[in-house]
Amino acid sequence: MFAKISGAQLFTMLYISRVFSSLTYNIHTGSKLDGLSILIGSLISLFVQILIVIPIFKLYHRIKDGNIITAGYNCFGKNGIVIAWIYAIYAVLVGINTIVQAMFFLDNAVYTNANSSILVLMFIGLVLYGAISGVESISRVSAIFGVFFVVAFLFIFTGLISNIDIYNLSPIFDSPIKQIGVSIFDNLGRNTELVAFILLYPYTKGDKKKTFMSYLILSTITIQIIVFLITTVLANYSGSLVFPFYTLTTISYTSIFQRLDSLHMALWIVLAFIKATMYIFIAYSCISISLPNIKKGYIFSVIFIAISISVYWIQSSLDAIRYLQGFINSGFIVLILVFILPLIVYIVYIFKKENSVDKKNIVNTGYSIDAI
Amino acid sequence: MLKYIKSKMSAIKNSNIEDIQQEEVFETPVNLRSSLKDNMVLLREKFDNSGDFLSRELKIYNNTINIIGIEGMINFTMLSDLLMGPLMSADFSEKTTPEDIYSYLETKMITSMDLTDVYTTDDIFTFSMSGFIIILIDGIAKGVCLGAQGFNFRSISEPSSEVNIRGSREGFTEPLRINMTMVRRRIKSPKLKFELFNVGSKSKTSVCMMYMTDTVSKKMVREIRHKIRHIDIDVVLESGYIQPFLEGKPFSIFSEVGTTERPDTVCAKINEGRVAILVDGTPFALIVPYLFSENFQSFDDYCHRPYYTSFMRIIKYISFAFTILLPGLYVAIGSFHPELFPHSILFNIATSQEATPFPLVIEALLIHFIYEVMREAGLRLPRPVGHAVSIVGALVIGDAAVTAGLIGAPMVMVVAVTAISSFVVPSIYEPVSILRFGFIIVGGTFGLYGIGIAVAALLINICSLSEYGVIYTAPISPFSFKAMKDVFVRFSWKKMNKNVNIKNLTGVDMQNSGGENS
Repeated sequence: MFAKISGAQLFTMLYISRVFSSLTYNIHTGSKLDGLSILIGSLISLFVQILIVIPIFKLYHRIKDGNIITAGYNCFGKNGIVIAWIYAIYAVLVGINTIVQAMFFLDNAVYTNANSSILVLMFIGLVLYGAISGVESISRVSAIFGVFFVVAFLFIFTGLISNIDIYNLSPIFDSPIKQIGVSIFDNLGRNTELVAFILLYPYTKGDKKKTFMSYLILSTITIQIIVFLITTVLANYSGSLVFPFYTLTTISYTSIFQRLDSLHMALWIVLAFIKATMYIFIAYSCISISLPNIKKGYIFSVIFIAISISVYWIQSSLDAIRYLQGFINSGFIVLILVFILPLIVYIVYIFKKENSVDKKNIVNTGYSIDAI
Repeated sequence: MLKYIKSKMSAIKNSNIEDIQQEEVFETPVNLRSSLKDNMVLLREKFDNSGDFLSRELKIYNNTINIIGIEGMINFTMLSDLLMGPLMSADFSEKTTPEDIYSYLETKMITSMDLTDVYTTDDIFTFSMSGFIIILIDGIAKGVCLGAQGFNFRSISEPSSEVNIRGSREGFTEPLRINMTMVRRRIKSPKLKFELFNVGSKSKTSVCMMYMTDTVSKKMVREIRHKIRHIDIDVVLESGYIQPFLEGKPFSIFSEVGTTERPDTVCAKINEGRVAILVDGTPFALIVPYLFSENFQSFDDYCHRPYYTSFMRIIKYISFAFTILLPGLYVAIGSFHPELFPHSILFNIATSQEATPFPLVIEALLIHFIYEVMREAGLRLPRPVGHAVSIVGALVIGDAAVTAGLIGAPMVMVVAVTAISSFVVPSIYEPVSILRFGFIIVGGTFGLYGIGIAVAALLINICSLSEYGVIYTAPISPFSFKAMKDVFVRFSWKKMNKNVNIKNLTGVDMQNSGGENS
């Protein structure tokens, strides 16, 4: 038995992780889309995301235990290690990207004169501590931070209501179909949590379909609100900002606090922590399935070294940051990992099962996530 | 060279074996012999001619008996009533054999409830140290052990660390048996079970594990029993000595084992399916498992109206947040993010800071350090002197330091609020006082970023605690709405009374849970 977290806990982890992406990235980065096209695109993208996870649900319905990695081993034997490492590398890259983004934000918006090395090392250390503690601890912490996030978000939203100008939500004049199409794909690419969902699926008990749908709907609503706020408050100015939501919080005012940007920063850090920790744990779980004899300490030590070196290197180059972000958020990568690879595994699995005399051989290759 | 190393290694090995064998010889209990003289020699050796070792030899016609005990632990009136009186009035004659006397002691002396046979010198030692008297008869290789305890102990009084407005005024006292009766008197159920152990290789302290067989998890009882049996310690003088052996993660800031001085609290907890552990010589019971949210509950909560209790609970949670975070946040915001304050407050803080020589973080550390010194001094000193220390402390910190321009007035206020808040939840004072210093340091070094990092690390630490199948942060996370009836708010007894169990309180379905008899 390896179901360790509830559907609600998985939902919170994914939701927080997704919200971090929405708060971090400029909605206009690289695409120059209108606010309205992003709003419409994210809504349509919801249905696209439901469609692309059908193969993985079908696969998991068949295999009952295990995840895409163990299924890969069942289908391709020892060659299944390729699938394990594809997902592991992707998870590590998302983890690195999250840390880089968080540190980039801190370096450029908050602590412009600080030595970033100490900040980075502290953050990486914390992320590894969280990942070593396991998926249960991460999920519990994310549930607590989830409540804080909602309260803080409401605080910020309330402080911004007076600044909303609905006229800033201008109609899409320039090739609306293309803009919406790009927005759909963009939204899909930024939803890296779809990959996390399929890898954390076997750790979860309860109705996973319900969890997935709740996650998709609520995260879409939250993104809609964020995009709506950014577009209606900042108008065209949002296109030239690196951290538009941070700018929003500097405008936000309540009678208790003069500005809410620091609140945003604290919120940002914990959201980044949850996201990075979740992906590092996923990377560890993928590696430990493929290398069951390697001790947990060794795997995490290697991950720690790899992340530290990568973050220091990437952080020093703006091009590297852009390239990594572009790669991670490319809709194609998410499409391959969430739709194409699972579809191939599913087809091979069905094919092998129907052609196998001894069906037991297919589902028992000795690779299991029990050991994690 | 190799030969030399080998010979050395074998010598070390042999010496280890000899040590172990010697230890085994020392540990093996020595059986009593039929000769009373031999037994007395053995016992004097065992007691190492200790000054409080008492022995009184009596002649009953041709037979010799010896009464053994420890000075100060025996009630001599009881000894006279239970033993001497019946022995004197017994119908013995010259034909009486040692077996007759033994049989008389065993069968006729029913006035004492604590009557048992002893076969080894170790048994005699253990029983005599608990206030029993032992009767040895020449010609018989065993003794009779008789309960005649008469040592003095502190009477039952109001718990000093858990003062309540309503509810019982009884608190645990030092002798284990009295504490056990206090629990038994409150739960008159055959499901209440006591298990006794001796812990401590030298102290042989009596430890009692108590639970309700119908609500407790079998697996949990097995685990705790195993842990108690395998406690490797010389002496146990307080329940705190065995507490670490029952905890899961040694480096955790918070403990999964709770303590209480109140028998009514113990009864409530064991009724919920927990295990309570009493240790002889200490008025504090241990409760396993313990949840984070229980630190915010007190016995009064269940006597007051639910709306008031709920209000007080929220106050406690806010106080806890204040205690840990307020000084750290003040230092972080004041040093790194002053733009967060409204202008009027910012102006006041800036004015006070202008007049003081130290940065905020040093001020905060200094004043908290002085506060902790004052607190510790006030706690350990005799009460009248303690009050004097408090007054001097208040004057020094509150007035003189500000007047001298060493510390800003807002900082004094922050410390005052923090200190008072820390007493609202006294059960977690220890971790909170350490965490407070930690948050001041990270807040003063890294600002809100440091606070965020520290909060995340703290939460990961708390959320990873899960001993005996119960998650420490339940039912907050993992969240269970059903189990939230007694966390931030308290529902009325009409809603709570059904199925009050650790399973329902946490919302976690423990493996192999269920009654001992189920």
